[in-house]
Amino acid sequence: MSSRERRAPLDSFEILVRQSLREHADGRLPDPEVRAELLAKAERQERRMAQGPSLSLADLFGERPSRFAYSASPNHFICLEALFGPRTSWFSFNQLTR
Amino acid sequence: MAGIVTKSSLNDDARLILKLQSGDLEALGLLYDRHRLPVFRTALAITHDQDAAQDILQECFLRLHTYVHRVDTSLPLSPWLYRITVNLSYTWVTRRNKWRAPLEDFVDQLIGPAKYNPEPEAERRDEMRLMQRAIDGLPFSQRVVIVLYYLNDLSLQEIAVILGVPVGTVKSRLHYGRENLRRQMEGTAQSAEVQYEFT
Repeated sequence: MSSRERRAPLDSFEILVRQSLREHADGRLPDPEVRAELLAKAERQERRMAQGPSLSLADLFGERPSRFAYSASPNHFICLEALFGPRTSWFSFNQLTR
Repeated sequence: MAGIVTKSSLNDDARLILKLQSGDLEALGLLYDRHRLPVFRTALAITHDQDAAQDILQECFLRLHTYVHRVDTSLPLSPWLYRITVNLSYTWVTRRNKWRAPLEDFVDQLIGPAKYNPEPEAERRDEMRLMQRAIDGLPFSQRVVIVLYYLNDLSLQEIAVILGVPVGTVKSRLHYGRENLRRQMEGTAQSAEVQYEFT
């Protein structure tokens, strides 16, 4: 992928740019804890992925909700109406929820 | 990771990615060991912040873990990692600039331009420090190209692949980035000389 061989030689200004960047970055290493933390986080992520999405979100991912999963009941819509009903007419609210 | 991607390194990466796809977390550790330095150095050069660079490094490999099933093993991994690094650095820089820029302007006013130092070695060090500041002051799109080209030694084609832009765009960003740096350095040198004359 690289075509560095075809690069034109750097002028003195470009050499200064390169040296400045290298001076700042060379010899600096990430802390060893970064690796350990990464692996711990990845392990947690792996466990979460194995469990699947939380039950209440199952519908969002197009999965069949289990018997114990949360599902919207008719009461739910009454609550929504209490929240948004006064701001909209009954007709438009009805359109929204159907 | 920087520069030429050899066939054996491509095979090694592919082997490790396949292992990671099958849930072997040790493979993630080995991929981290292989690629951490260029990712860290790139993030450090763009952000100028050790802690931010470490966060970006960790997040980059966490994303590799999350999206490993989407990684094409027939392609080299390094451009993918560079792209994530650049994106994460962009997020960090834009968030920081919201509150940092006014504070820095104020500090600049208090400190004033760098003093002229007649010692050649010290002068060189001053020059490099000013250059680092000038790079830090470049627009993000130009700064990234300057870092990938001069620090990571990548070709224009490689940078174009990483950034997902045409080679011509990379060329022009590199050109304008260099011109901006030249202008900033000349401006700083002039103001330093003026200050020296009056002191």
